[in-house]
Amino acid sequence: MRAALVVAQREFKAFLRSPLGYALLAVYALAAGLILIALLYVFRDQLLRAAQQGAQAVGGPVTPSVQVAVVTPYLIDVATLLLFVLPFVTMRAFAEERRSRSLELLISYPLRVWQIVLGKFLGVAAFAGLLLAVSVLHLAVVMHATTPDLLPLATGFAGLLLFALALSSVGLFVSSLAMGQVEAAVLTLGLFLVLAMGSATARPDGSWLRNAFVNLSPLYQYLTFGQGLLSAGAVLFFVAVTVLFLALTIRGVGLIKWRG
Amino acid sequence: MGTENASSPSSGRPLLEVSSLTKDYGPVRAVDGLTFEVRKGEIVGLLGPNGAGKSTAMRVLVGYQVPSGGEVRLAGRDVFREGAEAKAALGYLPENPPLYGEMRVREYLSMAGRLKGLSGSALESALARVERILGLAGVRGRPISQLSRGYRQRVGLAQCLIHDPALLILDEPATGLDPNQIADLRALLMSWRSEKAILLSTHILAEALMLCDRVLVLSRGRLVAEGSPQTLGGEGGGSSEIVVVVRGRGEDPLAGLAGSASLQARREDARPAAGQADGGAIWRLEGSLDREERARLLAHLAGSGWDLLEWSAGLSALERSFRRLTLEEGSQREEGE
Repeated sequence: MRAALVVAQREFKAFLRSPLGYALLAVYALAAGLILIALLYVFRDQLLRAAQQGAQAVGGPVTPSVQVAVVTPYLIDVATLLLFVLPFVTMRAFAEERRSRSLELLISYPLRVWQIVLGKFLGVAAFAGLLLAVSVLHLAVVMHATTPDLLPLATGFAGLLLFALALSSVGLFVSSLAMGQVEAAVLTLGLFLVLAMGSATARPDGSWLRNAFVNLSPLYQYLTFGQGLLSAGAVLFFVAVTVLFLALTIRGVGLIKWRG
Repeated sequence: MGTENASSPSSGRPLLEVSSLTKDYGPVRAVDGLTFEVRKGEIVGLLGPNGAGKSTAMRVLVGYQVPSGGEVRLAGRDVFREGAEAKAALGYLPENPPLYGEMRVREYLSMAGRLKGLSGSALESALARVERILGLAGVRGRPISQLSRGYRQRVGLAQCLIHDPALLILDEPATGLDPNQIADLRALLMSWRSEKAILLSTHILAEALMLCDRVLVLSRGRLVAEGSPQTLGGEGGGSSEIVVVVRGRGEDPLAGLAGSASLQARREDARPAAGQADGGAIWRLEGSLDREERARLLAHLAGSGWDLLEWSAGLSALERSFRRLTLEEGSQREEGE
């Protein structure tokens, strides 16, 4: 475990010392910030409309919920944003190490492959955590002005972290197979988008194939978290995806040793 | 030269044991039935032209690539079945060491040390040791990306040595270094010889001659010769082809020189240029001489009053042998296929 933490530390610091890391942070912060601003405008309009309607209604105005109008859509939109950002976080993990041949040196060290894979995963997860910290700051602004329920908010962020970890493990797996980081990013993005489509095709009366496609969509699995609800099935899904793809990444690094 | 530098290899178990190693890339066999050992106290050179399979063989030896057949043991442990334990005895320097340019030297070496199991005071003393040996103390705070080629190579060697491994595998360690840096590197390798087993790949034959106790010649993935540089040089020992041009008034520059049968003397020009003092005739001497014979010739020419105008050395016996082994072997295999 100690060796994995050393690898993780190096991986995380590499993001903080590269223009790519700052570019990803900036793009994420800007995009997530714009999403929040747009949602706040919509929320303000809802408040104004409610105030106008409420003045005429018996019993006073019905105030829209900040959880429903801002927090839930923000978390779901941020999850969608992560689908586009995380491929660029995970692309370098193995593909770049392989291109620069530093993986050759790392594998010559007295380490086991799982320690390298776990270290890379923790490093990427730490950077994903940094991205989510930006979102925590965003919602802190909302909390300053309003009083959303903290429990659903915390559940939403916990789900977002699980969502990011699962996608990171998928990205690491693709990076372990790809010959270069651009190839890794494009393939990961393509895979994420295909998986994300599952949530868009959800129908209550779908066939088993459609249901399977929908249930395999990380975005669909996240929806309940976004609503502030804890779903054991969704937790299990994200944990299973993470473990499965980390195991596949270990196999992927093994394949590098076969292919060279 | 090899025999002059030779220390006694340990009689214990070899630190590197390679048996019947093969590596295929699809239909192409990059390494073909490689078998050899390296023991403590010896420097073994892996020689071969570009594309001979040296780097592929080294990648398999350090566990980066899985062999298609055969076995590799580091300090008695199988590098694929007991990878982490086997590699604890290994220090590896790939060609053009792939370092993390964004890290500072001390930070990088500290990471390498921790990945190799060092911590606390053991790590601190290991860092101080490699920085002292490789002269890195002055650059320990600098980012690796800002270092010169020579310093990057030193950092590569430092990461290789940080855990004081018994076996060093160095892939083209002198590539890209200037003559001073190459001399420093050679001195370092010589100083480590008695306490470590060293396998180095090179295509610089002079390096093999100076450093190695044994050389393994690879051609198209196959081991085509193994032995001391002198043995591989054949009967000529360490002889080199030389061309010497001298000027003097004597009848024959080789007159009175014992053992001059391997030299031919040809008079080139007897007349001085117009307006130039007559300095005597110009003679061209050609032949193949070993080090002792070259020293005798030089002393003879100086003692006999001949002016030395030109002295050039051609291929050494090892170089000739290398060309013969790698070119002939290659063409024979092509014919066979």
